[in-house]
Formats: sequence, C-alpha cells, structure tokens
Amino acid sequence: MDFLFESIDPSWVEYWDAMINDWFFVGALIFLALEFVRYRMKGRLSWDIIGDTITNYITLAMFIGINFLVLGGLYYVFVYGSQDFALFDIDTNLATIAICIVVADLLYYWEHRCMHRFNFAWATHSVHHSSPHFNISVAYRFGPMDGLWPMFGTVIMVVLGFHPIVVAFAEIMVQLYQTALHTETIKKLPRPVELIFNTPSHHRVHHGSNPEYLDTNYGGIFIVWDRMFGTFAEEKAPVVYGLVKPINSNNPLIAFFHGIYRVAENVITAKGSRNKLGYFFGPPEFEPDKIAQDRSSH
Amino acid sequence: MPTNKQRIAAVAATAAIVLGGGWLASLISPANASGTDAIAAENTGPVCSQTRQQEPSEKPIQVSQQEEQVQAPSGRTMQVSINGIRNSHGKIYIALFDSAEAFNSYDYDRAVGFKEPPAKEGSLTVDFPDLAEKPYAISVFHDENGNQNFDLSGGYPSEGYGTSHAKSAYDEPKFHQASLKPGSIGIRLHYLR
Ligand SMILES: [Zn+2]
Ligand SMILES: [Zn+2]
Repeated sequence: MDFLFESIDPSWVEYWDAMINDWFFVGALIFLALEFVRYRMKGRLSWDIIGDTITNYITLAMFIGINFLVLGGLYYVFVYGSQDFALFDIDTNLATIAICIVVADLLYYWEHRCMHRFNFAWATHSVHHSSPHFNISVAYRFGPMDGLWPMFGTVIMVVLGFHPIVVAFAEIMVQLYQTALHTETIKKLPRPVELIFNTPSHHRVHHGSNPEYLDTNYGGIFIVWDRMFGTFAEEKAPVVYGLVKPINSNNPLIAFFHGIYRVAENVITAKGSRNKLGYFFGPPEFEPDKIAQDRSSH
Repeated sequence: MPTNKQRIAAVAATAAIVLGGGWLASLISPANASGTDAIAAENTGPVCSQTRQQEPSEKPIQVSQQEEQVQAPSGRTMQVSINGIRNSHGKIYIALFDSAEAFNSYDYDRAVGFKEPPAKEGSLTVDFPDLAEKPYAISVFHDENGNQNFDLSGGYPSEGYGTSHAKSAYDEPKFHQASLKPGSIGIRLHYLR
C-alpha cells in the first residue's frame, strides 16, 4: 500500500490531467456517433437533434474562448494568490489526490446547487439545461459564465493546502464523471451503485422539467450529498428534458445568451427595487411582489 | 425542497467534511508519515535498508561515487551543491530538516544536519551522510559578515539565501514542495542586495 503515499511531482499530475481530458473528448465523440446510430434505429434521428448537437459544440467553443480571454487571468491571480494562506501542509500523493477529489465533489455539489437557485448564476447554467435532448453532446453545452463559479471551490481547496494542480485535476475528474452521465442508453445500474454514486438515471432526473424533478440531484460523482441534504429524487415518471419555459431554438447565440438576456430583461423591466433584487438574487421561480407593483402603478 | 433546518445542517456538515478532508490529507504527508519510518530505520538499520532496495538503482551508485564516505554504508547520502556564491567572505550555513514544522518555521535548532563550510566564490558541495530513505528539505544562507546570523534589513534578506526546489528568489516552498529523498540537489543562492 506504500504506493498510495509516495510523493508525486505535481507536473506529473498536470500531464495526466491533459492526457485524460483530451482522450476523454475523443472517446465522447465516438460514443456520440454510437448514440446517433441508436437514435436512427429508434426512428428518432431528426434535424432538430442534429442542430441541437452542433449548437452544443458551438457553445463549448464560445465557453472555451471566454475562459481563455477573461477567466484564465482571474483564476491565476486568485488561485496562486491564495496559495500563501494554506491552512494545512499537504503533500501530493495518490491518497491526498483521492481526498481532494471527494472534497472537490462536495464543493461541486454546492456550486451546482447555487447555480440553480440564484437567478444571476442560473442565467449561465440554464444554457446547459436548455437542450430538450439528452446525449453526451449536451454535457459540452456550456453557458458564458460557467467557468466563473467553480473558482470559489478552487480557492477553498487551495486555501486548505492542496496544490493548485491537484485541485485542477480533482475538478476535472468530477467534470468528466458528470460528462459521462449524459446518456439515455444506460437505464439503471446495480442498486449499490445507484445508492452511492451519481448515475445516468439520477442525472436524467436533474435535467427534467417535470415538477417533481426540479432542483434535485445536484451531485457530481457521489449522489450521497443529495441524499444527505434533502435534494434527491428517484427516476420514476419519464423525464421531460429541458427548461420549464423552453427556448425552442437551435440558434447557438440564442442558446448561449438566453439566460443572461432573460435576467437582464427581468431586472430592467421589473417595477421597484425589491422586484429587481428578486429577479437578480432570487430563485428562478421568483414572481414579482404584487403589492409593490400596485404601489408603483398608482 | 429542503427545509431551512436541512439547509443549515447541510452547510455545517459540508464545512466539517471539507476541513476534515484537508486535515486528514495533511496527516498523510510523507513528512509526518515517515516519522515512524525514521525510528524503525534507526533501530534496525541494515534490515531496513535491505527492504528498501526496490528503489531505483541509481542511488547506491551515487553513494559509491563518494570516496570519502567509507564507513556507515547503511545510510543514504544527500549531496548538496550550492551555486551562485558571490564571494569568499564568511561562511555558508546549510541546514537539513526532516520535519515540516521545523523547516516551515526556519527553526535551525531543530535541523537534523548542519554544515558551515567557509564560503568559496562560485560553488561548493557538501554531503550529509547516514540519512534515512525519507524526504528532507534544505535551507541555506551565506553569512558574509560572519556574525552567525541571517541578516535582514527592512524585512528583506540582506545576505544570500536559498532553499531546495525554490523556483525563484521569491519562492518560499513549504516542506512538502522543498523536500526530496537523499540524492543530489543543486541550490542557487539569491542575493537581493
Ligand atoms: Zn444543473
Ligand atoms: Zn447535465
């Protein structure tokens, strides 16, 4: 068991990171091709699905562009700046990497939950949920500011004392695990797996617009966080994918910016500062306060 | 929809798991884990070094290259080369640490190895023999004025200094970043003034 505790040079972790990430992308494309064969066999292959898939990858390209131009520098400043405040002196080895992945997964749960419950963050995450389909290409459908929110978790882990490269690795592992869940081909996995881990079934529920499925199953790798914190729902009724108010468009610009547009429009047109605040900081189901509206219309 | 009570409990549980995770991870740092190793190595010396032969074979060769080191074949040697010494005034102080705590707080009294060769312009090499197979970190400074102190002025070092695995003059690696198992390492001195 000694190999678990052998120190690893962080540059190796960086190398695995790049390798795993790139090959996963290739694997996902191959899997997507198989999903299209399946759509064809079921007679479900349509121009809408093809357009949706292309839009998914265009949002990915725009997301990467924004990360590269805007968020990269921000990350560098915050992450390397917070290294000096490390609480613990943590070595890089397989055991500490494993712990970092569990912590990263728990922080992902909260980041994801917040993205669903605050309008200003839902503005960007709703892009991921705006596809009415569910295949692995949807996993690559990102919103413009999706790269910003994980930074809080990143800084927390670096302040704990994990090496920034290890933190990035752990976050990528959570992200890739999540990516693999976006498929309808796997119905249910063995019960112990469904009990502990996030699975395609649990994540289908997360993408559901059915009332009983809304705001559930935020987990990354582990579903135990949802079970512990009261946000779990089991897949029973067939899932209706997408938003409660669908965007009904495959235009990549509409898909990418609809959330930000909607929040901006709501905040600007709302009457009274309480309603404006509600549309910005409140949950997606926020409704304007009737009394305030009456008062301002007098 | 979770209740407020559930929300508070969830946040508290999360804080505990996150902090506990960091603390647990700090316990399995080799600096601490090898504490017991060191004792075992002292008690049973030769047996231990035998079980550790699975390590890459370059290390024994390095030991045999050092001719002066005839006795004590059981321990490992750390060969430290100090580079960038700017003049031959005073002494070079080289401290070897096996404890993260002592190293991170620059507690020279708790160094496990200490050398103070006269300074020599350019570079010099010292050996720390009889070490266990575990990570050590090295801290060096150039006592140019011979007052046996690492002089600071205005909070900045006024004498040359260096640390194992430091990437620049302003890099202050923590023990787990600075440490290495016995072998050879070069350390560059930095002079800010
Ligand atoms: Zn989501
Ligand atoms: Zn998803």
